[in-house]
Amino acid sequence: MSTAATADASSSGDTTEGSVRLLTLQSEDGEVFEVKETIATQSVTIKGMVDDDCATSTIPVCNVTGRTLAMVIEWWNKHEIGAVSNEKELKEWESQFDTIDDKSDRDDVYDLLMAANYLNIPTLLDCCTSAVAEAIKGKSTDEMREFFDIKSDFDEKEEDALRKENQWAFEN
Amino acid sequence: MLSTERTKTNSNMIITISTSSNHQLSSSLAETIANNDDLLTELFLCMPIKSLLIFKSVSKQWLSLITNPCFSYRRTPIPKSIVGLFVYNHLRSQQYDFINLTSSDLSDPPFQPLTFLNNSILQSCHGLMLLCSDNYCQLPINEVFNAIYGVNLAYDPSKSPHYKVIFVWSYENSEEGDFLIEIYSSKTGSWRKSISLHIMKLILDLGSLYFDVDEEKVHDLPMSDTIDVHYRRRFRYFGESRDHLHLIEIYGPCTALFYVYEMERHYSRWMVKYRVDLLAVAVAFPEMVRSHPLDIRKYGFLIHPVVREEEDEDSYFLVHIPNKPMRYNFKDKSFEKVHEFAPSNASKSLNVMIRIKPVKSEISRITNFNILMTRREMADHIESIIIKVIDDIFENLLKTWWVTRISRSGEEGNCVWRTVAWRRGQKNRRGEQRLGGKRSAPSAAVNGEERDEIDGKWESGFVNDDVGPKISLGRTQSDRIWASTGLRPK
Repeated sequence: MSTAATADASSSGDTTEGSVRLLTLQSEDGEVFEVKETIATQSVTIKGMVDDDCATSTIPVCNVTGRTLAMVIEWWNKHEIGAVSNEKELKEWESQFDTIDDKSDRDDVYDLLMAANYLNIPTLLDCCTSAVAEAIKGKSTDEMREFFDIKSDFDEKEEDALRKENQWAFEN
Repeated sequence: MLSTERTKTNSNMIITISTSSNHQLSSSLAETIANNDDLLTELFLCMPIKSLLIFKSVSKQWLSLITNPCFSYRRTPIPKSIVGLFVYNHLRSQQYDFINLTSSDLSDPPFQPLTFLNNSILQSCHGLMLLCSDNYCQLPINEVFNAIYGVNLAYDPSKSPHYKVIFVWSYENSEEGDFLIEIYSSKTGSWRKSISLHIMKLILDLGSLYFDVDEEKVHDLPMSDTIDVHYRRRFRYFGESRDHLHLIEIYGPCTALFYVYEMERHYSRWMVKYRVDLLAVAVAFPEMVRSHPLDIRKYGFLIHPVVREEEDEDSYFLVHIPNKPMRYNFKDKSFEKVHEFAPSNASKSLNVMIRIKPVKSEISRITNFNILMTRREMADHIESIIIKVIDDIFENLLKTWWVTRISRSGEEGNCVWRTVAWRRGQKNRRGEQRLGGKRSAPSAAVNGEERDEIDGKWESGFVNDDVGPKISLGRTQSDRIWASTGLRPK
């Protein structure tokens, strides 16, 4: 996956751009982004805040780093209505998120997944969950535990029973 | 995809967190994801079923998420259209073949075919199967029963993850028309008596009733005007598709012409939905034509589900003629073969001659017959075959019949046969009676549909017509003779 381009809106200093209202988002590490309200409201969470008039001052996005937030804003820009002329181009652009080739990709996807979940961005969440699902679907129980850093809380007997019950899935 | 409730929570969270500047991001993102039930659920929704089965053993948290009925329902909402069927392969003992009914190869069933040892599928409902076993029985029978009229699953995952089993039977020596309904609930794990009722003979012969599982009440259900009271009802099919309930009963002398009835909304009545004419199928596949000593034209076929499609002109049913399930389209009357049963491997089979001793002396003439068994079957520890012993079919027109179950155990060549018989004769017109030892429910007698075996010289139907609605039988080329009884009481 490519690292995110600088978000278009971050260079703008005004709080309004024509008739479009700008929102100020602050990432966990203090980076500030100004984003058009029409774009940022792709996040259901932010839309809720705008609707409730809670978005008048800087919105802290505490769980998301500046790097990730820039990627999120890039996603929003691409998904703004009218930003990309055809569906195919958008799918092609999105496909960079579909594959996880190395560790940095993986971290990016995790970051985005967390951000998408936190900001509640259904399209991004869908894309990231399928990417992660694609990466882990063929893995064994032990690989999954390693992947997600999980310690088994089953005793040996319980785990054997579970494996036996689902024998078919373990066979091929 | 995400609920509004969750949105609300998140928006509250953001406000709360903004006042707390000391919030620390977890050092391991992976761990954070793994601990977030919402996110994990989203991930699991994208997983193939095989991965989910494997991931059940990752941790207790994962197991609980994957086995949560709400998750199952979200992942697999009630499918509108069926992708395939398990159909009993009469050529291979205890095997169900999978028939893919979609044009795509997407469906990859884990069991192909499905083989049960001493089990048979009675009914299925939204993915649950009701199995009948020869070896054990959990039906709530304490008293000696006279007859079992039906065992049915009631399961709607959109309403509840729990299912019920409805069991309709009658006591020994009870009056004709007396029934008892008992219900098993998977929620409580136990059976309880629901209602007992008396149904007049007129309703049994001509009308229909329905049992509301939620209310536990029986209601009248008028039949369509098209039924011909001069002919005996021949029950063929009852089932649901796309929220439509269908019934097939055959009246009249020609069994290849009949209607498919559909239940009107609010259970007001059965209405004619489709008219079926299988004569063209019989021309193309003459093996379904049965000869009859009285020169009545009979057609041998079974009906597997009526399938409603989104566009009504695509709706069809599977009509199962000897060895070949066919898809029959209701609107344009076209038909095509969708499967062909493979016979058992002849080189591996051996013939076993069985002489069945009469259970009671009143059984006068018992025919000898061969049973084709495969070596694999012989190797099985217990073999169970349901055989119908027929006392000279043409002379006696089945005034008396027996269903005999033979169990084989022990070493090869040292067969121990246990015979359990149900007799139907003049003395007991209503139903079955046990003659054998203390056995539980007769497995073949509880099926909601007549499970005629079809192959070779198959004699479906006419015995049914002559003696009563509860019997149908088939006779196979290998002289295996099978029988089952229908659901409906006479």
